[in-house]
Amino acid sequence: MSMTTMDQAATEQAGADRLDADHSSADTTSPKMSNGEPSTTIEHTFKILVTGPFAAGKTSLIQSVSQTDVVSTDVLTSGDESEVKGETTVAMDFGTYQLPDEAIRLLLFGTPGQPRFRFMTNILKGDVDVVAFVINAEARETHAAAGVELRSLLSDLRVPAVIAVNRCDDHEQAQRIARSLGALAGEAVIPCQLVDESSGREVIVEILLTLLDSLEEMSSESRDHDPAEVG
Amino acid sequence: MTADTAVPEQARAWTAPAPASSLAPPPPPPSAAVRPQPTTPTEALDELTEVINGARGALLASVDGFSLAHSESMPDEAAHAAMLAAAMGLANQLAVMGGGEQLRQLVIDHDAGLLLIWPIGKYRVLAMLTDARVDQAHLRRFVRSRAALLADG
Ligand SMILES: Nc1nc2c(ncn2[C@@H]2O[C@H](COP(=O)(O)OP(=O)(O)OP(=O)(O)O)[C@@H](O)[C@H]2O)c(=O)[nH]1
Ligand SMILES: [Mg+2]
Repeated sequence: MSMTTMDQAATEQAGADRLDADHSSADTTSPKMSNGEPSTTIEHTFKILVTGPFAAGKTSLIQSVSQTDVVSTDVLTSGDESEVKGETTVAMDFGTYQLPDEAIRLLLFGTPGQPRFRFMTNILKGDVDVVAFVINAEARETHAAAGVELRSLLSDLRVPAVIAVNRCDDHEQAQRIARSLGALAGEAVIPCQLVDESSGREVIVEILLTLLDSLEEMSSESRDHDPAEVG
Repeated sequence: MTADTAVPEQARAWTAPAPASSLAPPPPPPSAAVRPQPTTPTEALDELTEVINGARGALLASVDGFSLAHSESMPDEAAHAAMLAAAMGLANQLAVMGGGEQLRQLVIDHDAGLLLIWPIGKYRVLAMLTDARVDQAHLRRFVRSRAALLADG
């Protein structure tokens, strides 16, 4: 370790003036759904928030499906949590999934699960297109709080959700659990085993179908509201 | 510094700039003659805050976001420890983005001063609130002299 480098860098930075005093040229527009040219390279990018309670399987989902190196912030657990598992997410997970021919890309943002990191969910949830809510079917003691969290998140974001019921093989059981969380009739529910890559991909397919549904809904709404489009 | 090959990939990123065990023999802190040596992390944080000119407070947290000790001058806010853990978690990944393997220091430079954050061993994080003009080299030497206590105490 070189003290000089560390200290130099730190000293030079200390008390530095802000660099962003002039906001006039800042580009604050969202990069989502950028339409490139020509049309074959059209790329739709969607932001998926992967959230849910501690140890539900959020990181496992992103690790199992991401096609790019996962940005992971898992660290060793301490205290009671170390009895549940050895590592926990402290800031975020980030992975991507792209459909081979369709030029559709999902950006998967995973949140930490413990309530003490709730502020990270608040940071990550902006501009989300779909919430993927992961719940561990076997950890029943987490379900009540998870239900409250799910409903409050969805009423805040007003985006569709996919409820991934992890460690569960049975559709009926998954539906029952989702309903106990307060899932609405139309919300997608999928049983899964998130240590398994193919199961993770089924969740991704469900997310894509949910996205398509909501896009269709949006376009039919805009047709209804835009007379110019009708004629 | 050599990486500990027995440490799993995830944990390795957390190996501190100077794990307590690999530290050079610590220089005696300037005030050693007048103050008793601290024997707990809390005492060490109080000492740091009092001895270093411009230091306002110190907080020791676990890498998974629990508060372990704080100087008397700092409020005991559970959220602070969680934010430190999250910031370090991200900063470690940003170091990788920069081509690095080990995060040494995270600096939050704001209008009211500095927040300096260091990994302490593999499992802990130390944060110090200071004035902008604090003597950082001096501060770091002092922290280093207390790293073993902060890592294991
Ligand atoms: N048996 C079984 N274990 C699983 C399955 N999915 C995840 N696990 C395990 O359950 C634990 C939880 O996985 P994570 O993906 O880290 O959970 P998380 O939701 O990201 O947890 P936090 O970020 O700490 O909130 C890990 O030890 C996984 O290996 C599954 O389908 N079956
Ligand atoms: Mg996780």
